[in-house]
Formats: sequence, structure tokens, C-alpha cells
Amino acid sequence: VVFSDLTFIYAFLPLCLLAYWLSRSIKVKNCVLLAASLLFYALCEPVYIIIMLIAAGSAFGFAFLIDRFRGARASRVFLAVSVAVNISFLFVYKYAPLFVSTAVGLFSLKIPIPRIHLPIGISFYTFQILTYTIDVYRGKSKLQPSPLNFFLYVTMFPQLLAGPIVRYDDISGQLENRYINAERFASGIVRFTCGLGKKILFADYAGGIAESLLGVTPVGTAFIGEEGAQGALHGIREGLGVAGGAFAAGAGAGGISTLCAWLGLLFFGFQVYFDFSGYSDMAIGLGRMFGFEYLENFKHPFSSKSITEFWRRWHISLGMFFRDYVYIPLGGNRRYQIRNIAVVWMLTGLWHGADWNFVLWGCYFGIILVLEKYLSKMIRLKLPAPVGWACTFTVVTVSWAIFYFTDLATVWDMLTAMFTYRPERNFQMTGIINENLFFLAVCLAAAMPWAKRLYTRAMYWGERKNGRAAAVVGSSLSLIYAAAMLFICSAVRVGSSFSPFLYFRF
Amino acid sequence: MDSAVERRIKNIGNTSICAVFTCCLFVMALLFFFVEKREFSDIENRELAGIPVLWNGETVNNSFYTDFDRFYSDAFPFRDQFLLVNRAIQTVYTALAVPGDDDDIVFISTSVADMGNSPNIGGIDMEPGARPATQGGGAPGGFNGTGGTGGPNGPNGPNDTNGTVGNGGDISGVAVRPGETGDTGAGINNGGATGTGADSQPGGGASPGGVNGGQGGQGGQGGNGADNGGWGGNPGGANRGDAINAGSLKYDSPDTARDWETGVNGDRAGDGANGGAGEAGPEDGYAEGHGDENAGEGADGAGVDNEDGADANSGGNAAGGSAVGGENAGGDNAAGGENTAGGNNIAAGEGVDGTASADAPGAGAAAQAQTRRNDEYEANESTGVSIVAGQAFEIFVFSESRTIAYAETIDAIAAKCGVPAYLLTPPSGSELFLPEKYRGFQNEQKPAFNLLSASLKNVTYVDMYDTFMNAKDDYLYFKTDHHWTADGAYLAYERFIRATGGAPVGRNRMKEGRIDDFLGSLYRQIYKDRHSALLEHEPDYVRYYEPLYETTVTNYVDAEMTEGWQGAVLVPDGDLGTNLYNVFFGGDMRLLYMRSAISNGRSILVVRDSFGHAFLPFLANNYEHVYAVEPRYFDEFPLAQFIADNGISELLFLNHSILATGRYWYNWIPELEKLK
Repeated sequence: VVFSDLTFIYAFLPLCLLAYWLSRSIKVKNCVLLAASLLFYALCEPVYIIIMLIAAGSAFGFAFLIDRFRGARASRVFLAVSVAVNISFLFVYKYAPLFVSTAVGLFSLKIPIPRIHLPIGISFYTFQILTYTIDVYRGKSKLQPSPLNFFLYVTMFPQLLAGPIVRYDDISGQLENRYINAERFASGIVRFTCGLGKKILFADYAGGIAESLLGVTPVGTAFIGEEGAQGALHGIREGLGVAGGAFAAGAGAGGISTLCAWLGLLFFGFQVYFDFSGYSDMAIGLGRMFGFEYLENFKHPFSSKSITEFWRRWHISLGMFFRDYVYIPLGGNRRYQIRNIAVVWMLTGLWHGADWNFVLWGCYFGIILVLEKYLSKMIRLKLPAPVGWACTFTVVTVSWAIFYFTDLATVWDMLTAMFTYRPERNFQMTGIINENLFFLAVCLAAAMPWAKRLYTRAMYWGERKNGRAAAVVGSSLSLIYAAAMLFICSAVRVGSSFSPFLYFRF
Repeated sequence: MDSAVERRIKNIGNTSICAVFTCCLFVMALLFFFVEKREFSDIENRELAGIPVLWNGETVNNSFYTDFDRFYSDAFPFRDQFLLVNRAIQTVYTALAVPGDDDDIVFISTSVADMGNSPNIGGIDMEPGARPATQGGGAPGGFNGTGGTGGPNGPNGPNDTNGTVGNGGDISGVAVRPGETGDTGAGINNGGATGTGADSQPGGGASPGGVNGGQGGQGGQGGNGADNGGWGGNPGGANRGDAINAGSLKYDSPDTARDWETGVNGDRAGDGANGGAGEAGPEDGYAEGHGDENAGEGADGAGVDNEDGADANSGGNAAGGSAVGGENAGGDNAAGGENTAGGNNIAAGEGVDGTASADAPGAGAAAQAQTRRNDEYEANESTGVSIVAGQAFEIFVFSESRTIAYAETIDAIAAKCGVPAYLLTPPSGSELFLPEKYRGFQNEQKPAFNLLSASLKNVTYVDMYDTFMNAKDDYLYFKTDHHWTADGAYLAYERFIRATGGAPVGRNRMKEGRIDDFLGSLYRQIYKDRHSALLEHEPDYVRYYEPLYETTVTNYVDAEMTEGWQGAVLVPDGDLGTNLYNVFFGGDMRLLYMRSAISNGRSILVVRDSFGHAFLPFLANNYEHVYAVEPRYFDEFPLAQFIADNGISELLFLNHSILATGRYWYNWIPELEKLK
């Protein structure tokens, strides 16, 4: 189930809202939400829902023990066991194939590589569960006595599958006490439709182009549904069918061209951003419709002027998790800072996917962050903003090369293509580039905070000039925006087929 | 001081957002229950998904939600209107995106999945690539369709074999000659498998399979793909060796009413001239397929040898009928031999024999496909469609070995025939239309022609290159079809007649006619792609010239010319479907004899492909007897014998240069070998 499915928007959501409104007390409301969330997950993972339930149940139980033996050594033991249980689920279901196959490769073993199904959202809900047990141990969070509330926290469908990673601490109060009014509900709607637009109008399309240019589907993703969409993506995606240019006149071989590599990665970057942040927007919007307030997960990362800033704006909830639950406990910047940074970034990489290229990707950012830190201290050089932005953008774009291809040889080939000149030999690519170049500009404009800033300023100016007119204009703009987005996205969605969210694989 | 009012305004605004949004959701959700659930979408030309089952009797359907979502969006209220909006959005994007510069190019690779549903599928117009019999003739390029996506609900569908089908695709090479039923079977299965996947997706993966020609069978098996697959199939049937039997390709069923091409042979059927299926004889794949229908048709008097067919069928259907056969046979096809059924039914029948199993998609066929390819030549590969300023064409990729092989083959044939022989091969669209700045992406054709002419000893190479290049701004090729126009063919005619020392007849002396609004093969190849809008602005028109002299046409079935029927040079009033290029002779004819009232005793035999359609009528101005043979339709054709028997004095090879010198498309050499 994805939020951009018509089934979700026009069947699941209205039914869910209706049931929610009909229920009076917060307890019943929570029951409704929990039931809806379980149904939601069961539709995605009819079998593996059991794993989520076991993971959540064990954490719920261990939290009691941790709380009971607070201060005693046993408390620590129970925490360790609880964390181990949760991590082991993640490990087995997500990483076992990687480690086994690596071991097989290294020691030429004769064991079969397990083929394990990766349950959707396991990377997200495992971390959410961890924040609860650890915070209970630390005394930061109170024990949650109600299994209803706890399971609701873990399974809540808006953020269940692809974040943001909501911490128990941030939301514990809202589980028992929250309110909705027209303003919040309306802002939830606007937010949801905004995310819908990012996903359907930008991410899918940019993804199609990226795939055409780079030539392969990102490995290990269900990202591209097996049936070619008839939607906007279709033509371009299918264009890829000839991957490698079956007919490229003359020399088809020789690898990807420099132009294709850069443009493909730019589009891919936008795809990832719009896909993921669109999902977060939808999650936040849906949350608001049910009275929950989640923290922001993306704050226009492509406007960053340094990599440090980029990571403060990109997938914020993940960064915060690693900071508070890994980096600081390891000693933060007081002890072994380099080691801590290395660990955090390797884990960050690995979290994104069970393959070594993701580890490499994490290390790449780790190294650059360290460099940035020390260089700025040593040289005290302050780059002019545009230069800083350009450098950051380039560094991030290069990182997608490592991110996109799980095969390291291909990664190397990409990097070679990017940094040495390889002329374009494939006719087809030229056509695709010609045609879609303008969309790159559109993506960039949409990814920057320009429109938002402009709107805020205009409203500010308007309110001082004429408050009423500004209120009328502001309200109608929101209304038009939400209605238009819903309409256009539905139109694009009707007749187009399955396009799962990219981040499902993490 | 205004804050209270402002707050109220904002409140109203917020409330209305909530109201509009929730109303939309609820209204659509409610409407969903009342909307009529259709089974076929005319706009998209595909079957719509049905309600999936949650419990299939043994296990929970794992893809229930996915299937349900597909169903939900397929049955969405105002779906067609939404699709139009969708299309409008895409058109806007295309308009924004496509550079206004006339020199800029749009490239669309022939997406295989697309072909699944493309009306073009079976290579209806028989062009070189589309030829099913030997290559999986997919659409005009006859590429392997990798798969559309299986059709929804394959009846046979074993539980869920994910319709990931792609296999259909590779089936390509299954050579099915009439008579070689065995192979067919294999091909079919693949397809079948494909289509079958319960999980199959909308879109008839089958089709691509179908591509293979008659084997289209695939579709058949796929059951649901039924329709789709079937489509692939039909054309196949038509093209098949025994085309005759094929009957009309026109797919005319009410619910799938699309503009199918009128099958080449189809016309005949339609005309009742030959109709029927049975001809091929029981041992022929076709015959089997047809069975039932033909039997039915027999009544209409269409089928010549229905009996045979019927028998054969009984076999076929008995087994497979269950799948699709039933459906196709049933209503739509039967009538008037409309739907050859060939494809479809066959599929059904044979698929079954062949033990269609959903589990073994395509392997065999794929393997065969491989073996069919020689090192350099890539059959069934598309070079994609390029569009420059409304002109569509395909890119040319040179193959030296192919060129030499072609030259050697026709040389040997000419030597054996012992009459003056000529070769006409027009330059490709890309040579004419590719803007200067993209020249580097294709191979120049001039060297290809030089090599060709240098390799010929017994055949006179008639050079048209400069003539064409000098006139490249004229309307020599259609904008949306890969064929040349009658004007293009006229240039070739002029060159050829001069080369033989004769005097060509001026164009203005001939009576001309024209049919408007033609969207041709290249359009059909990409019609699902949003770029197809670029071709819709300026559809083609088909101009035709009537020979100066009264000319009669007889279409023969066999090389001995024992059986045939009356045809016509031009059939502007015929049922052409969308393929207006078939205005010439009504399409591909296996052996065509044209007798002109010029009565000068000259006679010529033309070994040709579909480029012959537009060309042959001109010959009636200079030759009393014109014979034209399409080697694709024969298992073997004793050319020298034929020439001797009929006292023919000249021999002309007419092939598009992509066939003669290119690396992709249809492999013509084996076809020529049949003439030796």
C-alpha cells in the first residue's frame, strides 16, 4: 500500500476518517487507528506482519522488566536482550543474505545464500521500537502501560512504512491527548497533497528519466513495478528497454557517456528527494488529520551550502536517531570522535541498503564531513554562498553514483565516466536529454525553498497592507492548491500503474 | 483590529479545504460502487482488471492488494475523463519539452511492452520485420516483445505466477512455417505462460509473444490475455506462410473494436474470394487453430477447405479450446472470416498441445530465437522511432556481412535465371531526414550502396541514392509510416525504367487519387507513447496513381498458378482499416500477376517486399505481364523454373535498403534462399 494509490486515497483513507470521526473517546479512536494500521500493514505484508507484532510485543514486555528492575544490573541486561532481539530481526531479515554471501565469497564456503523476504518498513519500525526501550531505560520516557497505545505508536500507518522515524518520547503525550480543529486538519490536507504531488508529478517522472539515462534499474529495488506504467513515466521508462542501446550505431559499447552519467544522477537525486520527502510530507499531513504532530524530516536539503548542513536537512529523523542512540553513547566528540563518526556513517550507509556500496556511500559522506570539519577549522575559509552550494550539490550528486549501483565495478565505471570525458554515442540518449533538460530546471526550482519563501514574504507584505484581502487570497490559494494537486495527481494516477516508494527498501 | 474578521476568513478557508477534500474522497468512494465495471478500455485498448480473489482455495493471494488496487484504478469513476486529463498533461509536457528547433530530435525506442497492445502487432502489413512466420514478427520491427504484461485473469492461470512475463518476448525466433506445427507449439507455450499468470498484469503480455507470429498463440493460452494475446496472434496468422487461409485480420469484435488493420490476406477473406482457413491443410499449424471458426464460417461460404480445417481443429480446440479458443472463436471472429482466428485459436489449440505450462515461460522459444541469429545480424531488434519535426523514421545501422550475403544471394539467383536482373533499394528514412548534427549516430548509407553494387556481378544495381537525396524535401516517405509514398516509388520507377532503356510515363499523365488521414506503422508502433501526439498533428495522406492502361490483377496461391482470385491494382474503396498503405492491391499478396492492356509483350518478375505495393502499379505502364512474388509466403519458390515456364524476360529485386544492408529488422536472406 502506498499513499499515492487510488485505493488508499479514495477508499482506505475516507473509511478510516469516517470510523475515526464516529468514535467518541480517545480510547476508541486509538482502537480504530490501530485496527486501520494493522489492516494497512497486513495488506502489504500479510505474512510478515507477525514479525512486527513479535518485535513490538517483546519490546513492550521487556520495557516492563527494565522499569521494574530500574537501577539494578538486571535492568541493563533486559535492555540488552530487548535491543538484541529487535536488532536480530533486522539483521536476519535485512542483512543475512549480504553477510552470508560475503562470507561465501571470502572463504569460498559451500553454504546456500538464504533468500529472505525483506518485510516492508522493518528498518523504520525497528528503530522506533528501539527509541522506546532505550528511553525507558534512560528514564527519559515513562513506561507505557497500555498495549493499545504502544502498538499504535509502533504501527501507526502514516509513518509505518517509510518514516519519519518518530521517537516515542516525541509522541507519547499525543497518544493519549490530542485535538483536531479545522486549521490543523486543513494544513494536514495541504501537506498531504503537496507530498502527493512530489511523489507523482516529480519523483516518478524524474525516476523514469534517470533510469533511462543510467541504463539500469537500481538493483534490489522493487522500485520499478514490473508492469510498465502507462503514466507519464511510461514512454521514458520503457525507453530503457533497450538498455545499453541495442542498436547504438557504431560503437554501442564503451560505457555510459559523461553527459548521461551526470544528468542521470542529477535526475536520480531529485527522484530520491521527491520520493522520500514526498512520503514524509504525506505522513506528516496524514498524522495531522488524525491529530498527531510529527517532526519535519526534510528541510530543502538541496539548498544546503555544506555537507554538514545537507545532513541537517536530509532525512533528519535518521540523523537524529544515530546521533542520540549511537554517536553520543559511543562518546560523541569527547572520546574517539573519529571512530564514532566512522561507526555512525558506516551504519547510516548500511541502513540504506544491504549491500557494500551503501557502506561505501556512508563512508564517503563520513570522510567528507570530517574533512569539512577540520578544513573549516584549519583554514577558516569562508566560501561564498553560491560556491558552497555548488560544491555541496556536486558532492551529493557524485554520491548517488555509489548509491545507485550495487555493483562496485559499475560504480567505478560511472565515476570514470563522470571525471574523464566520454562522448555521447547513443542516439537515444541524446533525444532523451534534449527533451527532458527543462524538467531538470523544474525539479531544481521545486526542490529549493524559493516558492515557499516567496509565498511567505508575499503573505507578510499583504498582511501589513490589507489583512483581510491577504487572508482571502491566502485561504483561496491553499484551497486551489490542494484541490488542483488532488485532481491532477488522481488523473495521472488513474491508468498509471504501480510505483512503490523508493525508500521501502531501506 | 481586523484580526477577528481575518480569523473568520481563515476559518472559512480552512473549513472549505476540509470540506472539499473530504467530499472528493467520499464522493469518489461512494461513486465507485455505482460505476459500471467495464471489462475493456477503449482509450487504452486493453482489458481492465477484474475483482481479485483473496482466497484461491488453498492459500491467501499474496498480491491481493496489488490486484485490488489495479482493479480499483481500472474501475475508477470517470476513468475515461481522467485519462483524457492525463493525456492532456502529457501533451503539455511534450509540448514544453520538445525543443522547437526543427533540427531537434525525439527518439522513442520501440518499447516492447508497448507493443503488447499495439494494434500493429502481428506485423500486419507484412513488412520486413513484421513478419511473423520466421521471426517473431512483432510490430514493425518485429522485436521480441518482451513482454507486455500478462493479461488480467488468465483463465488457466495457475495461481500466481507473477505475470512478469517478459518472456513472450524472446520467443522471437520460432520459425513457424506452415506445417511445422511443432515449433509453433513451443512458441505458444511461452506466450501462454505469460498470459496466464494469474497475477498477470493488464496489458496482454501475451501479445508480444504473439508476436511470433501465428504463434501468437501465446495469447491464446494466456487466456485472458486472450484478447490481447490473440491480437498478436491474428496478424500472425495472416502472415503466416499460408496466409491465404488467414482470412481477414480485422479485429472487429464489439468490445475491442479497434481499428485493426485489415489483414493482408484478410481482404481476400473478406472478399470471400478465398476465405476460409482450412487451406493450409491439417498438418499446418493454422489449420488447426482455425478449426472451429472456420467450420462455422464454412457456412458463409468462405472457407475453401474448411473441412480440413475443421478436423484439425477439433484436435486443437478439444485440448486448448478451453482457454481462449472459446472466446475468440465465439462471437467476434467467426463472422465472415473476419478474424482469422488463425492466430488466436491456434494459440489455444496448440498451446495446449504444447503443454503450456505457466512455469516454463518461453525457454524453448528463446533458445530458438538465439540460434536464429547469426553473429552480426540482429533480427527483431528495433532501432526505435525517431521524430524530427513531425517526420518519423528509423535509424539505419550498417552490416557489412549482411550486405555481402544479400548481394551474393541475389547474384546466385540471377545467374541461375539467366535473364537481365536489376536491384532497386531505396535509401532509408534516416538518411533523408536525420539532421546534420545527429549524423554521427547513424551509419552513412552511401558506402553500403557502394559495397552492394560492387559485390554484384549478374545483377544491375540501379542507383537511386542521389535521386532520392536531391529530392529529399519532397514527400517521398510517409511521415508516420516506414514505407515510401507513391511519389517515392515513382522516382524509383523512373530510374529503373531508364536503366532498362525504356521510357517512363510522366506522373501527370496518370490519374491520381488520394486518401487523407493516414497514421501509419511508425505511429502505431509508438501510439501509446505520449510522443505519438507529435505525429498526430500532421497525419499523412496516401496518394496513388492509376496505370495508364487497363490492368487486371490475379492473386495466386501457389507457384504453379493453379489457384487464384481476382484482385485490383488499387482498392481505395476497400476495407483498409487504418492501414491506408494497403490501398495498393489491398496489401501483401504472395504471388501477384498483373496484366496490362499495353500489350507490348514485355514481361517482368519482381521479387519484392512491401515496398512493392506502391511501386508495382507503375510497371503496368511499361510491361504487359508483371509477376511479383513475396518470398516470405512460400516455403520454396523455384524462380528459374517459374521464369522459364512463363517466358519472363526480366527480373527485378526490390527491397528496402534496411533489409539489404542493415543490421536490424527482418532477416531476408533465408527468404531469398527459397528462390534458389
